[in-house]
Amino acid sequence: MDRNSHKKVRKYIIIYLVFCVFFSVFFFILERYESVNNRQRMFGLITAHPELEAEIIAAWEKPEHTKYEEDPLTHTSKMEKILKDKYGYAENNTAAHRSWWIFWGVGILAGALMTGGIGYWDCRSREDFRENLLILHESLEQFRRGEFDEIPDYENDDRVNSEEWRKVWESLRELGVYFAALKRAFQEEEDSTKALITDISHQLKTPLASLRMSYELVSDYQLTHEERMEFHEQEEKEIEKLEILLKELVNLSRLETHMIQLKPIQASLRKTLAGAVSQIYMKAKNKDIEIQVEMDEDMEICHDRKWTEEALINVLDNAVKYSQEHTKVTVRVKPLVRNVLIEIEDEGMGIKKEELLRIYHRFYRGERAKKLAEEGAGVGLYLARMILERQGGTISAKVKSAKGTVFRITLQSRG
Amino acid sequence: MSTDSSKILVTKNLVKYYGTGENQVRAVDHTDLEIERGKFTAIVGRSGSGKSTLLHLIGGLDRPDEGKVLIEGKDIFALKDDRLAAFRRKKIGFIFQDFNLIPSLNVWENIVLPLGLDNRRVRREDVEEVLEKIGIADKKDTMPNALSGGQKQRTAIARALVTSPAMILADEPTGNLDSQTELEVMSLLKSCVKDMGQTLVMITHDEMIAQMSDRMIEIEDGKAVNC
Amino acid sequence: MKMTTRVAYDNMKYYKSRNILIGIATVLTTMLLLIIPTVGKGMADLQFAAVRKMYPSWHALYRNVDEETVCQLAAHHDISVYGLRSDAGYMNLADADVSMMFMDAKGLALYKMELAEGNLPERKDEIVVSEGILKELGQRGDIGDTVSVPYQIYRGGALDLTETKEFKICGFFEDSPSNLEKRIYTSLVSEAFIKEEVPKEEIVYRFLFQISDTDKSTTDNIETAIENIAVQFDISENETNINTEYLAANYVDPVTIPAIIIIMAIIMLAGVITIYSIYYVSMNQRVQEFGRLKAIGATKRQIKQIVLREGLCVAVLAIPAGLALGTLSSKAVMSLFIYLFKEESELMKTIGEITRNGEVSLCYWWAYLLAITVTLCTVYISLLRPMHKAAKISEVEAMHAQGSGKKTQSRRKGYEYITVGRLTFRNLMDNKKKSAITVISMAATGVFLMVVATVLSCANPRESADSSIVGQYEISPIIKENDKEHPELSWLQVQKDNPLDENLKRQIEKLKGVEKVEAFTAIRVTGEMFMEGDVNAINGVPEEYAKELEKGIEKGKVTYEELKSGDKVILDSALKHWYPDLDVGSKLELTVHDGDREYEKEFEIAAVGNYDSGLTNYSWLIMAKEAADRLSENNSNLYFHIIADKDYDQKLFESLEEIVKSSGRIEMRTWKREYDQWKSAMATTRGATYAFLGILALISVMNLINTMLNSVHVRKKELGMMQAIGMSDSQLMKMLQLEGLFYTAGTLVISVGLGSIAGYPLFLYAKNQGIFSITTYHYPAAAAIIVTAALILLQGLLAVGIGKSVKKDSLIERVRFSE
Repeated sequence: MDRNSHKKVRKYIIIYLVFCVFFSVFFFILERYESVNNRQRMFGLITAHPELEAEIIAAWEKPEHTKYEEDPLTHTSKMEKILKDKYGYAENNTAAHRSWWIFWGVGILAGALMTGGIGYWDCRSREDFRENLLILHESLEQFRRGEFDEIPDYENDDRVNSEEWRKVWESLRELGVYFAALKRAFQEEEDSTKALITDISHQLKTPLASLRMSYELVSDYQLTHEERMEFHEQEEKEIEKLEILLKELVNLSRLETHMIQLKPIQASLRKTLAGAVSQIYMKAKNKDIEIQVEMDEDMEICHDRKWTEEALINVLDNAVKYSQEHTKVTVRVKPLVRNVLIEIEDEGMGIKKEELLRIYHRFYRGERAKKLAEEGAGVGLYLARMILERQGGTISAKVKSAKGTVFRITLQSRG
Repeated sequence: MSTDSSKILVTKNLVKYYGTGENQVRAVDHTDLEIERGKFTAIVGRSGSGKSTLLHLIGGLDRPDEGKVLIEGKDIFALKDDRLAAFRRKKIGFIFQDFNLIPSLNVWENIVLPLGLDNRRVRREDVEEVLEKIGIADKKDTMPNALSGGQKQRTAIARALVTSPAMILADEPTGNLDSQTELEVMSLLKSCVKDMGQTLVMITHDEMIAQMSDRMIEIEDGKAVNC
Repeated sequence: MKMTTRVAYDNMKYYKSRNILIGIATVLTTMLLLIIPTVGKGMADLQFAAVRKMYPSWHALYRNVDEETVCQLAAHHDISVYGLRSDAGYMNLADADVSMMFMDAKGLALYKMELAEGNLPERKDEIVVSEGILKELGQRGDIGDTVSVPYQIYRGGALDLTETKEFKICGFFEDSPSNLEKRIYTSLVSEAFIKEEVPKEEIVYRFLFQISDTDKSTTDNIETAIENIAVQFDISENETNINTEYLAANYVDPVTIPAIIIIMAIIMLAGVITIYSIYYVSMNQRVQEFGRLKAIGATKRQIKQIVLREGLCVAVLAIPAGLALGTLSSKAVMSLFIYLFKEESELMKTIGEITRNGEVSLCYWWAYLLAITVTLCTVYISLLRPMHKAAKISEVEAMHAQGSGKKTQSRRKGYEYITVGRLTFRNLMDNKKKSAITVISMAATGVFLMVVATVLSCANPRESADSSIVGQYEISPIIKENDKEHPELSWLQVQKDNPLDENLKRQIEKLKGVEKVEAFTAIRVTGEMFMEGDVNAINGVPEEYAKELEKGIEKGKVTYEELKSGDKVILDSALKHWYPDLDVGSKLELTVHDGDREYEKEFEIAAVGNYDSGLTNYSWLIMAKEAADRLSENNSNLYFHIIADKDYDQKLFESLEEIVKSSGRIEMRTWKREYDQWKSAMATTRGATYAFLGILALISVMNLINTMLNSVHVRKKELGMMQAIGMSDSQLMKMLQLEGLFYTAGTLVISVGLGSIAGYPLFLYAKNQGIFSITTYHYPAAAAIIVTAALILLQGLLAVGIGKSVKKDSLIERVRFSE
């Protein structure tokens, strides 16, 4: 029993007292009404049957009854007076009044029981409420300590009996899950940055090692000029590769770590596409690969020009890189309802079914791809997919039954 | 109860057989699966490989013979039917191959139905935003039978998204659509899921669709083979 | 052709649950169609057989026909057989009634009486008696023996003083149990005896005859013929007595056939509506299937055949079952009737005997044929539309994914927010026609039920008893007019020394349980405007009934105060019926008979009213009691109506009996006996009607079951769907409940609403026709409540049952389900 409960008890006692007062007043009025009613009926009886008057009055044995030979008006009022007296006499004595008192007592008692009951129920529910608040407090404490995953499940807990509390627990659990996810996302971010650094250093290691070897060979041994020139050439190639790789890695790491935000704007798709094709054009021409663009009309779509071009370059580059000489790469652009479909079809080596999902992995290169083209870090498609998906687009590859691959790229026509 | 919060869904030793004796089909056979939060997981497999059954078990539509399905660490089959239904409508959005819209309700009503079932208030702006995003804002008074397949599936997607569930389960959502609509629906689904940070588990036998996933799980004879 | 039957048969097996429902509805329809005519005809036949056995076989008799007219009548062309009877008088015995009459051989035969032995009396001192009569006389004897008989002869329309004479027994009657029980016997004397005792001009005969029935085979025709003859020979209507029961038993009453036809039509209608609605509801769903058949090359004709054959297959299975059940239950119903009412009357006893002896065949081949034909027609009519619909389906439409073939609007404003209730509403609105058909077909039965219940509820034995007696007991002096032996029993004599005096009144009032004794006065009047010999009475009604009197007035206006004046009366409409010329404002020149005094007085009819027979007691000129009392110098109290605190109190009854016995001059009628009589009379009809309605209701319940089952079955997938997106089982149940509630509420609103409204005109009709002596309108609250409760309970159970059956399939099966 703390102060609170005392307060509550006091409140209920007051409520009960108010009830008692009202009930009594109500009861009194009711009783009054009833008796007045009775009296009027009695009175009515007498006026209706004046012949009984003497009898009735005689029965009451009132001394006044002898004086009734007056005019009707006073007669009436006298009658009333008698009845009133009679009534007063009856009020304290008749059985009828005892039963009125019993009614009153029962009413008051019932009121007491009801108030008690409601009070008890109220206390009980308040008790539950406090219990629940304590649990809530505990859970919040737990959150503060960073233990998000360990919010207990109240699904089958008796205390959590109402729908509302259950909803509170569910929200709490969800909050925990959310915090946990947030925490994990930070962790993942950190992990992926670590992985990225590891991957990048791993990627850089090989060309650097070969460059170093070439450099050491050149400086350590007495070589002929021809030989030296050969090594220099080798070194230049390595440096070039390194530069490309670095550029890719820089793009990759910037995108990956959200250092670059894509800024889609409403712009001509044709221009973007033309930019991409022109970048790859020389490379294709060297292999005598024809790039054919089928596009009916230009479309203004919402995309980041620079990076979308980059993504397209990557896909086109792959198409050219892994195709035989004298083949054709077709780029088809089709408007869909809410998207634009860009199909890039080559007649190259194709992709094995098992590899379909892996080609988008960072630094993944298929076995056959490695054999066919030495350069490339295996980030092209990874990058392309990242760029496209960040703009709400998709990319998927379809292995044609005959020969070659079709990449299907969708881009949202509107933002 | 401590769980790895990166796994939104974990199945443990899940078993579901149909029939008995020689006719017994091991639709799901001791499958352990983990689905990561916020990722798009594709479940691929030939027809009859038990992938639909698996999805139904995951979604709590069917009860397994053995094993557990834990969603956010909660064993869903420990719940009573009514609580399971309530859990389902809060946590899981379903998208079916044949759309399964309620023919007597118009598009808007179909979409807000899960909210109504959950006694949740409909925030008009939120629903309109979803409709806008899905691209059926102009169709909200239309009856399902006046919609094209793609529009029907969009409505179904909106319906699945509107409750912002923790996980969306899609059973061959583009199976009844032509290839262009398929691409559209997929790009929509993918971007929605990505924007809302939701987890998508999709059954498909189409490799093109599967490629778009972050992770692919292959089901063979009721067993999960990780790719 | 073989293929169609095969497919139909397979379909029937596949859609088992629905076909079982249709089957049950068909069984019930067949059963009803068989029971109604069988029981109706059976009861009639039994009754007629009993009537033929018990009732005299004369078609009619003319009373008070003199010898000359007898000869003339005998010559009439239309009269084929005739007999004569003439009442001679009564034997003067203390407790037994033995009438003495002359009857010729034909008359005896027409009365279905025969002598156990001996011959008819011919000589004036010959007599035919029975053992019972001899016992009453306290004498013994055999044929040829002489008995001494004290008797009173009818002379000049009254019984003369007792004489005693010796008679020779010439023959014996056999006593029937009822003779012995009631101590009422008949003895036969010769015509010679009458001719000796009664002056020739006073001898009158009863002329009993049969009409030659060549071309007069209906009761109406025969009655017309009888009336025509009466007119020809100046025989008044009062003196003609038509043996209606016998005629009804032997000739066709043109009214009964339409009645049976109407009842059959109602059953058929209910059956058609139900079976039709079941087919309608379930056909929609199968449209696709028929479409598929069409796609693989079935012709329209073949599809029609498939639908028809499936329906007929069910009917062929159901009809024999219905016939068997119908045969059994009609037997049961009849036995029950006979068992319940065997104590009611002599007729029922005879009916019981006839049934036991199997004298009447209670199987009617035509009833079976009728039931079969009508049921088949019902099924066929119900199938017509589905057949056409199925045949009309185009292949494309049917093959279409969810091609239910209905065109719904493509856009619709919707709710912003969907709740289970709105969901249900949408679904119902989407299937408006189906919902409407179900509701209407169920409501049709409901309306019918309510209408009949209205009439039945108005037929309240309590009220009928109330209307036939005022108060709980009615005491009146024993009055016998025209009995020379007891001239003191004539009313005018009784008036002079009336046992209903203040003493008796006080004596009764003192009894425990008596609240009030109301005295009603009767003053005998005759007048020229009334037919000769028609004695009427002025009814003095006490002031306590002033309100009732004023309420009963139909025409004119008069207050009780005005009735106190003594020259204004209210004419009861029953009397107006006989004398239509009398109307408000008519002056009545009447002769008032008061004891030995007679005087003329003029009365004015101030109003015409309609009153219960309990109030008027056939005294149809109503006046204030105090005024009526003024008309007489004597105590003219004809009735004491005793108002008691309870309807029946054994003790009070016994003490009243005691008073009645000790006085010896008064007799008593009790409310209780009236009530019991009405009750038993109504119970039969009530039971039969409710049973009939019950079966009818059952048929329409099939309908509800079907609709709900179907609506769930069709939407199996949809429901599974909703559950997949998160509808909980309890929400599903709620939805089904709501749906059922819609049907229930719709049915209730229409049947209770329309039924109540339609019941009123029927009540008015029944009141006019005097069916069950219905007087006041009673709302059939009990029926309304029962119908409501039954429907709600039923639909609740249905929803639970259907919900269970839905849950039986796993969610997945449902989601995958497609027709």
